[in-house]
Amino acid sequence: MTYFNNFEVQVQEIEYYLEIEKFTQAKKAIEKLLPETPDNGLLLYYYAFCLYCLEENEVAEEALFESIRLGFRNVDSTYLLGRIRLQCNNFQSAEEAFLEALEMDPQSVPVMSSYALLMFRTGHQKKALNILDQALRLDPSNEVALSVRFIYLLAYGSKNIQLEMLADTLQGAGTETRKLLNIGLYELHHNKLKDAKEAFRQAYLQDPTNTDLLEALDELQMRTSLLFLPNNIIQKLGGPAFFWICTAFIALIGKLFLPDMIAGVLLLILVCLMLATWVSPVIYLAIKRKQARRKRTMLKQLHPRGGRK
Amino acid sequence: MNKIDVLRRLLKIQPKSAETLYLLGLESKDQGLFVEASQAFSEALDFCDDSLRNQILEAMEELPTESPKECKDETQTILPFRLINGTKANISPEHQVRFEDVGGLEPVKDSISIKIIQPFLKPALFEKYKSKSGGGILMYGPPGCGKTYLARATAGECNATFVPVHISDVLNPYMGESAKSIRGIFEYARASRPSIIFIDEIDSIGFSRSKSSSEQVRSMVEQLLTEMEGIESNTDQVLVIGATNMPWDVDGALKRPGRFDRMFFIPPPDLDARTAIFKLKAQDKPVELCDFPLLAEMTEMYSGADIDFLFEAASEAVLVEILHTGIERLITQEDLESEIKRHLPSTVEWLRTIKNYVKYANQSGLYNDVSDYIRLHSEWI
Amino acid sequence: MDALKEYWIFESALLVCFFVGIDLGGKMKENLFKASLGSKGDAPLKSYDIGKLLLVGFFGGLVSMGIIGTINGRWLKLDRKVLIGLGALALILLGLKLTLLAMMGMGMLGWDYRTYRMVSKIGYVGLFIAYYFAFKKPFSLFVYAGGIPTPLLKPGLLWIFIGGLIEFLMVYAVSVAVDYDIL
Repeated sequence: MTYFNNFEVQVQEIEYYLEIEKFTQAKKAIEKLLPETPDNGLLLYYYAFCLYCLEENEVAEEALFESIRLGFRNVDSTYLLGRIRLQCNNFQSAEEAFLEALEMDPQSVPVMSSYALLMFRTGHQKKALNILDQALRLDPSNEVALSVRFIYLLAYGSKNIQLEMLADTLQGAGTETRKLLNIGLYELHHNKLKDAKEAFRQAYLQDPTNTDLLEALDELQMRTSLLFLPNNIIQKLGGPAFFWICTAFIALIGKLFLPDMIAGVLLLILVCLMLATWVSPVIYLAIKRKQARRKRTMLKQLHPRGGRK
Repeated sequence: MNKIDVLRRLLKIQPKSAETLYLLGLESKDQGLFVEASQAFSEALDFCDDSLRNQILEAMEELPTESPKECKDETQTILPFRLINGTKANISPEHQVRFEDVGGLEPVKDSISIKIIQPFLKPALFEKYKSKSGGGILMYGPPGCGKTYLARATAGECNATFVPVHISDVLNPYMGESAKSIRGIFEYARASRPSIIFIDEIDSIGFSRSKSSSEQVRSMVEQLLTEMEGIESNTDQVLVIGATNMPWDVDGALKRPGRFDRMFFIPPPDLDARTAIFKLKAQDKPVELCDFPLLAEMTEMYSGADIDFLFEAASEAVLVEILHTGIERLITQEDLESEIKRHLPSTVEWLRTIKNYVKYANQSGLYNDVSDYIRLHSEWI
Repeated sequence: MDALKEYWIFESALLVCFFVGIDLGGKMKENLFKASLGSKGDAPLKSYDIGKLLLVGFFGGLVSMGIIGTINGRWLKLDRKVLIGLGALALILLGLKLTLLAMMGMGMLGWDYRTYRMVSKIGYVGLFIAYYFAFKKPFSLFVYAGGIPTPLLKPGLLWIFIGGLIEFLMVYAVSVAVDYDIL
């Protein structure tokens, strides 16, 4: 330990923060160190990685270009470039970056998996599946490959296969947060809102700074409340399509066999239920906007700049 | 590149090579680097066989016996008494901070006094009731609100040795070395008891094992748990204070009884604390006489760091004006008020995060104090 | 001799298949890591929220649902055959609707206008259901892979209006034809 100088100690600290995914701390540490060594390609790569994880994609791309310019051109940097471009929806340039990374290392499973994800995003499903199969053959327990395959099977697989895949992702490498997110996604896909909410809640507890997760959790909280009771009833009955079929069937039966008044009342109830499902999201949005406006007004009263950064 | 550099490079490849360490010690001795030589010989003793041991001991006896000097080279972070305590910690001299130096926060200070300080000062009384003095407390709160300062003040009140620890003091890329550093710190603290180990950013050193598959995290947390549990050694009269902005990242096992079993929420400074901070910050700056209580009233929810930043920003603005006009002047109340209008407190974001966290995670009542605080200041959050 | 000739032809054919197969296989492997994006018609996936298409179908009618469904299907790069099939279904339902109207006008069907409207609505919802099930899996994949549904409000209102107008004109034309004994 005494054989490292101060720079190496600080780089160790940065690498440790990256390992435990504390990107804000890592970014701060890098920003302290960069002025001393602005030509360090590795540091700039780490900086770009932090910025990408913190969703500051434009600056991340700039830092990464600088890192590559300084000679840090390898699979990792090219792969990161692909991921940044994918996040920014620059699909063609993302593909260029992934293909370049695969030229350098044709057996890189994370790159293959991300390329497969890109192909899914752009509608080249067959190609995506072929690439994914190849990736999983090379490393069946790779977290990225399993996640991408899980996403595909969630959309196209049967319930049994989805469960098997979920079990694989839970047993594979990966953090608790990601595993909980997968569980939540699975439950959400099958309209089990309460179970999804619990999974997302536990995932959120692992990382309360994740605002996307918080938004999803708040929405689930709302969707499991009384305001969305009609929506939940219809989902439980089989979904809007099935509900409409039932309504049509009941309307016909009512017209043929029941007195007009009763048929009319039944139909009215069903139609009101359906209308309520259309109206409840609008009410929810209106409530949210009103709450946000009230908060901004109160903050403005407490502080002259209230609410504005 | 000299021989020492070559030997260091070899050590990076084979860190447990006793022969390389011995040669490094000899080379350092020849070049007059007695501290490094002594350290290399000590480490070589850990890995050598009997035949080499005698040679190393002979070489150590030949080292001069003058008292160790602090390294002047700023790129080195070595201090001589790391040979004794096995850490890289920049251990400060006996601190002078006491509770009277900490403005405001009376409820927190009272709580710490009853639960922490009195057991330290009156061990016999607490021994009678079989209550251990020591253990762990976890301070959490928004950044810049004085957790470190409060920890120092606690140590001052207890008349205990203050041992601050940062993640960079513990980290080592070689397997098992980080855990070794933690053990070294605790050994030093036990040797110097009564002592208070202050672990800043405990969420990094004691990071939740379920959130990371890193072996390094696992080994550090397990070592920390072992040391705090006192399985291998008596930890009475050694208090461990952990400070963090992210209590949710601290491993769950560390928050159980016997480890960090008391959690204190350190809120943003109250009115008295803010007034004291304003007075303190204004002391060494060219500031005209200001109405500090009024400024304190205008800066609700501001942390100490925020107030510091206000002074920095005001100084900058005044300096720019001086450079333009050529007329020197003092920082006035208006300058500070205008900076207050331009900057929001940084604690609000943290409090919003913890509010959402507590909404979903306070079934055990662990965060009741922060929950109460949020309720009182709900208009801000 | 013939047997030998046959054997050699067979073997040569096998060898040709073998080498062509390798070449094809090699080409396929090669194609996996060849750029697929960048040509003119290669846009990324897009979609409306398929659940909300019900509103367009319910209020706009068969023409609205058919048009917006086809647009969404192309965005999701659905199989051409599926899209053609769904389009054909929309046309069949439209034809059925107009036929029923004509039959009503000619007194062949003892329905009142309310019943006709109800049956039409059932038809609209039926078409939506067909599109919904065709879109369900590709839309799920689109969302889970990170896609964000395109807002439907403005285009939805537009197609409700346009589709509704077209359908209205068709219905009017049939009514006039029945009234003037053209049908």
